[in-house]
Amino acid sequence: MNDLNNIAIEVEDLTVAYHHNPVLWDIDVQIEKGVISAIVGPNGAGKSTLLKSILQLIPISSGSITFFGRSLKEMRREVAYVPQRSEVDWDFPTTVLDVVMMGSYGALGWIIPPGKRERELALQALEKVGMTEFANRQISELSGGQQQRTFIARALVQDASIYLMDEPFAGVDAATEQAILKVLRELQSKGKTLVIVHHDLLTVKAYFDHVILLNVHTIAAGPVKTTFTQENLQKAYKGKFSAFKGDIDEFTV
Amino acid sequence: MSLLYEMIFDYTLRNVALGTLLLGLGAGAIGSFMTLRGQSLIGDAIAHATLPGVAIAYLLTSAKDPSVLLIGAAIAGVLGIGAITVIIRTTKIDSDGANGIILSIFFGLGLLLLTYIQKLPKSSQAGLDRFIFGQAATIVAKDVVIIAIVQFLVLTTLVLFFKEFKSSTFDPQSTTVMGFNQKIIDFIFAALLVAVIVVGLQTVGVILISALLVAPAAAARQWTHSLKTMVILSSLFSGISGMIGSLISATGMNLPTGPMIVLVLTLFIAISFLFGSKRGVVNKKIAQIKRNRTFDQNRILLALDTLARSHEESDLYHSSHTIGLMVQHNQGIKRVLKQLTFSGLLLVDEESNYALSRKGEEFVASLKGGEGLYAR
Repeated sequence: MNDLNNIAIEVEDLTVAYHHNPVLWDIDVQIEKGVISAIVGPNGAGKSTLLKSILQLIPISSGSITFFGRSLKEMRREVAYVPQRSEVDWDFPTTVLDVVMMGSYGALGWIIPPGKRERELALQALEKVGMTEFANRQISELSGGQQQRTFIARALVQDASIYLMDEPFAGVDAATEQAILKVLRELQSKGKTLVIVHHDLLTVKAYFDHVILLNVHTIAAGPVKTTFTQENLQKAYKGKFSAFKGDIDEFTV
Repeated sequence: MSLLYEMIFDYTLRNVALGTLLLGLGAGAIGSFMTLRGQSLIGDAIAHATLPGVAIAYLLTSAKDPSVLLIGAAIAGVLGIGAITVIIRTTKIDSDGANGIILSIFFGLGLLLLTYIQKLPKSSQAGLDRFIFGQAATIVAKDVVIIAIVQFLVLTTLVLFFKEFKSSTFDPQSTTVMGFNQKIIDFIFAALLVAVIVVGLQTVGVILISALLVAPAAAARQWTHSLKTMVILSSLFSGISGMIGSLISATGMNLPTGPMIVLVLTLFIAISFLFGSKRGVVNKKIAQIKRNRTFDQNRILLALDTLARSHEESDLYHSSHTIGLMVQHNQGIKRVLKQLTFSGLLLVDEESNYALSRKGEEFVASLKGGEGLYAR
């Protein structure tokens, strides 16, 4: 097999700066097709920034990003994004089903309105995340977990090959966490690639098979087994990690 | 009736009514998106920014033909938006600050130029001050045609790009990832906004035209949770209040149109905020009272159920005082007990003691069946 076809995302020499302060410095990451990868690091490490710069949502100072060897422009339809819940105004006047249907807009293209088929796809996605009964609910009435499931359902409708998610497990209840995990595993079994910003170090070993330890630089990147080590975590969290000492090994799978 | 008669047959009034109605329809629709995008101020900034354009167009051409002046206004409006965008992108000033800066600079410049024009010979005929407060009575048939064409284009564009506007308003980043260029969407939006504002200038005036954009949207939001309905309602509110306000202004004591329209809009807002079916204050209060009542009733029923379980068969009736102690809530308990008796859930004896009826027992069972204390 061609090597290029096996690398879903390749980030080379990526540097991002806000007002001359580097937020990401010389990032090199390769993510293979079909893995679930966690981006882990302390607050301000640039985790969300890395996702956003991969998606060209913010200007990069230098570097290159390719998807299966191609540019984002060529691969738009194959890439889906799940932003942090807090990035949108949940008071927006619309329903859950309507938000999920927005996942079909990219495939529809400009001007063409969604129809029956898109509605059907959205309902199927809602079923997968266990939100069928909330289809006609106002989004302002959703709990945090339900908001997150709605966002994931919208991404499912996009039917992409690469999914980039920003903190999908943040502030959700245990049931939602399991429901989301199930959806992620299902996507993985279909050969999709998932890159997820994650904050809970204790679940990294159980949920992910690839990890990127980030703190402005790439501290380490690779399979969880060999990369998610005490030593690397110490480097990423610069000694502030001591509180977690010992805990990580208990959660080894 | 005579006003309706004149609206149809009087040349001036017909133009005024039709012109402001059409103006409002477009302004209210685009205004919904403007407020939802958190850019309520940008309409105001653009409107004020058009004033120097009007003045410069007059100075360059000495033309009184409104369409020339409006082209000047449009150019200045676009420059205003451009300047706001540049300020936001290159400095740390936020959009409110940028809007404020551009609004005052452009408006100040406009006022300066207007004063200068008024001192020129023959300037008394220019009548440019109508652009500040608006003068609906100056609308002629040609203006109505221009307004109609522009509003038709604006509404058609909004319908065509409804999906793009909706998605990019709710979640601009995901919309970008899906392949919709945010800059194109922003550009179309800005173009529509400038068009609506510019054609409304001489009718409503630069100072108050933003009211036609923002106020109806705020009022419409009180009645619905659907974007489509909100846009349509906002459009209608804006059109109707524009028409009523301008008619009063044109028929009455020649009052300025802009302020008159704002007065009518205030009425719409007041009614919507009070009685709006989704967010109105009155409706929320009623819902809250209902919830509290249901909660009180359910607690009393559950208390009587507990009492029935812990007492002998003969002792099912209890005084309001005992029940009040059980639910730790004595205020108005007699009223709630009467309501429950009236709806057949409680029985009452001659000494005003209460017990659960058969229907009440069944209801308690359903409450315990998992529907919870708040369910009815």
